[in-house]
Amino acid sequence: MARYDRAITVFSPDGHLFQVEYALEAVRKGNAAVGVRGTDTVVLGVEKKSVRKIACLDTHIALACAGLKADARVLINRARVECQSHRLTVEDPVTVEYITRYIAGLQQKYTQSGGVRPFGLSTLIVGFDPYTDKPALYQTDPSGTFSAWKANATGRNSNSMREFLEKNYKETSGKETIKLAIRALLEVVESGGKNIEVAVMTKKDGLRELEEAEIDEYVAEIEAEKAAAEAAKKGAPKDT
Amino acid sequence: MECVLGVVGRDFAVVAADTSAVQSILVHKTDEDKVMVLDSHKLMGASGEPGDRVQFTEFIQKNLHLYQFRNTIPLSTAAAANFTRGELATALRKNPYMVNIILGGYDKDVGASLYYIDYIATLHKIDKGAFGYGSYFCLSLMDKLYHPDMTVEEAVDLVDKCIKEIRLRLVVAPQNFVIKIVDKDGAREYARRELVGHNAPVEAATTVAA
Repeated sequence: MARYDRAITVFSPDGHLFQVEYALEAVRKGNAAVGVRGTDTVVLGVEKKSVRKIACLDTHIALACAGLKADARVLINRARVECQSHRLTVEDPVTVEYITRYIAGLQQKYTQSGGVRPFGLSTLIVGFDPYTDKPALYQTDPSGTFSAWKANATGRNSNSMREFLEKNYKETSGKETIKLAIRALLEVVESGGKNIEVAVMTKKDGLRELEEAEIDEYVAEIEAEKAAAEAAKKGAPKDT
Repeated sequence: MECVLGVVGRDFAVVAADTSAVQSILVHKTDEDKVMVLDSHKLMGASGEPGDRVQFTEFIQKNLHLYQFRNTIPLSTAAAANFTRGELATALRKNPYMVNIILGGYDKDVGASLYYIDYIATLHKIDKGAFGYGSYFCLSLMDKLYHPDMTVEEAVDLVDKCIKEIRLRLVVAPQNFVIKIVDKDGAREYARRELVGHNAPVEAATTVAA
């Protein structure tokens, strides 16, 4: 047993935690995921592969992740138990920040324990604060840091998605928020309802996974808007 | 002196309980809800040691919710009953929960069902049942008046007759009751029967329970 006390995550001479950085590499290779916060809606979108990517943690909290899916199962399970445990001990649902802090704390623990490796995933956590009714979006990473965001992306090509969001983000609500999330995903994923999974969380209805047909509708709208914008650009120079 | 009772009708189950919270000779409150809504389609009426009752039923409820989040589908009534019994059995020879339970639920494939679970982890699937001293009166009434496939009105009428008998014949009888129902549309409170307290009808204070 003594042999397994040896820490795997140790500092390098120049202050790096290479295991954590390698874990971030694993995240970078994972499926693309994006989260966008609106005024009354918060949307999660992921690149669709065989495994279901968006998980419900409680009636008012959902999580998407990029990276090692097996590690994700463990974290999601612990988070679900914590959500119920919190309700049992204090008779109140968790806030989004609380459960994010819990998950991030768990990820950090595994960078400072003997015989274990960090979790190879970053999470996007969305939900509604049960007390202020405000929507929230948080991100955690293998190092255990977390922060709140208006919009963010993780996984494959997250830089392109983030660039798109930085350029095109504005305060939206309802359908516009959904469209913004899908547009960001479409920057890096082949278009079509069968390649992306979208989940929408509202205060009233909780988490709702969009049907493939619905996503196709949004994609069609987005492509039409893009085409119209292109045409307008081409049309403009002739006016002078 | 606490009573919990339940009855299965046509595609629904009724679970009723008294709403008194008593300690020795003091009645703390007369509107204590002892029938917990475990999830959308399950009711758990519980009587016994107050601390254990709340602790145990909340524990079962949260574990049912956890199962639902993990597996996206809820536990069936039978599974929930067996899970509950298992927890009672595990604790029995260490630190028993002094809680008696009538669990009623509705499943799409099975219909309505009712389970009798006592504090030493006995489990019976039943059509009608009751716990407490009130059961001495209720069970006989049920034996006489129950028939399968009752309508909601008939079932609630049977429960009302049980309540009437408890109020009349049990010394230090609980006066107020809550009646909850579970059917395909879910679990919800059906009615309260109150003779004492703020919500009791004014005449009740001056008439004898008859």
